[in-house]
Amino acid sequence: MSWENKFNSIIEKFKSGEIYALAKMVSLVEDNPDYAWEIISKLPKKEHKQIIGITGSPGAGKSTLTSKLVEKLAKKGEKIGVIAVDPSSSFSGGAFLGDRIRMRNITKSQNVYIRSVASRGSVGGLCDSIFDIVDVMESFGFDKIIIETVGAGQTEIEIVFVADTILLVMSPDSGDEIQMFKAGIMEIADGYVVNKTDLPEANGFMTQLKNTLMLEVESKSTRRVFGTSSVLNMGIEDIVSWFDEHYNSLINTGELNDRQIRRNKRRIRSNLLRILDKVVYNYDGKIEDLEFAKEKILRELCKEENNYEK
Amino acid sequence: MSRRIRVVIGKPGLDGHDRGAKVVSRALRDAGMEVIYTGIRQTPSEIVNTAIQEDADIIGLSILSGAHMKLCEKLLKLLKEKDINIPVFLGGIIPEDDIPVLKEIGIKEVFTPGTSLELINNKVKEIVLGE
Repeated sequence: MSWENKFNSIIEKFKSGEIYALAKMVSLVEDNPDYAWEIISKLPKKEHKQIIGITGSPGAGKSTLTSKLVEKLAKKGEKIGVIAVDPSSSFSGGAFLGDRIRMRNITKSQNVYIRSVASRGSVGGLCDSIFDIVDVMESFGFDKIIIETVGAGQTEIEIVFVADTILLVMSPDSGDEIQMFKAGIMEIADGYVVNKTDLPEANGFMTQLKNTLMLEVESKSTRRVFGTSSVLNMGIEDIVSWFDEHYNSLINTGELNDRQIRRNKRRIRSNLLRILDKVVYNYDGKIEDLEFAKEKILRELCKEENNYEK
Repeated sequence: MSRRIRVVIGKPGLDGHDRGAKVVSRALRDAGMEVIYTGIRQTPSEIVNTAIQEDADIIGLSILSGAHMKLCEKLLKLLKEKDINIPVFLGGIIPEDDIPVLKEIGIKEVFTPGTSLELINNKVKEIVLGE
């Protein structure tokens, strides 16, 4: 069945709010990246809602924290869409998507939709279709969209180009302040969460983190440090209240618009890279003359672009 | 673009032994499928809702408690009520005599202990591509 036929068979149910149709629509953009923009342009337009990114290293407690946060938001009556990304195998292309295991407390909520997504070759902590999946969810009508990245390394910061509000989840046993001085993931967060505060080293870690971020001397900084324990259900409410506070400050300062521009540029780049990858993959690989090879590829790229216009 | 097969693996009922479910999940992953593992002690209703949200092509159940008849009947009934056509396969400690009965009520395939992982991978692909 072509994507148009699939789209036509689910669009009415999508508009009437059926989860079954939403799930099919997410698959449609994920499996047809060349037509995703066309699919999205046919969906109902809704006002932009806050996109929250939750990132951190494997085992920091992202999924459990996500589920606790979503539980609170859903109880307030908010409709929440969760995108939980896990890595695809570079060898088989398959994936073990295990984030739902930690989210059992929210799977029964009528206000929550969880979608497990495989990274499918993307290396920034997300997947190439993330912008499209977010658009589909936005069109469906969620109040907030939460993206949980793969267990991220220091340079996996793609979430900075997608989310309005970014939380970095850290475990108190994840090294000393030398790790905190390093560039990369430590620089991207709006909120830093020291999770597992039930561990004995949590207080010292939190002090080091605050000192490293120089929150005390940066009076203009809007960055916040939170302490949470998902096990003891502590500190969750502070973050939930801060979500709206942070989003409102983004609107009032004009920063939301700047982040939107950053997102759009990244999205265009991501689309171009996908087309470029295809062209380079089909190139014969000869580079006796590098300039000539580049020109040849650019010419192919233009042909590819013409195919899209048709 | 070809679609990756999405499999929801669930453990309905009260037994907490999920080694088999994890091994099969891993094998399906290594065969190129996207496996959503839901964890232990799920209700049939939770598994069905997960399969709908995840747009699963197939559901795999792992049951060792002896309650396979009741749980499978309930899960298949829920799928029917919701008018959702997702095939279901089963693995675990299943008596030989129950297998034809399970297939009769709509379970596509039953894998008992000792089944090769390659056979499970191939059967799962066969069921999905045949739907």
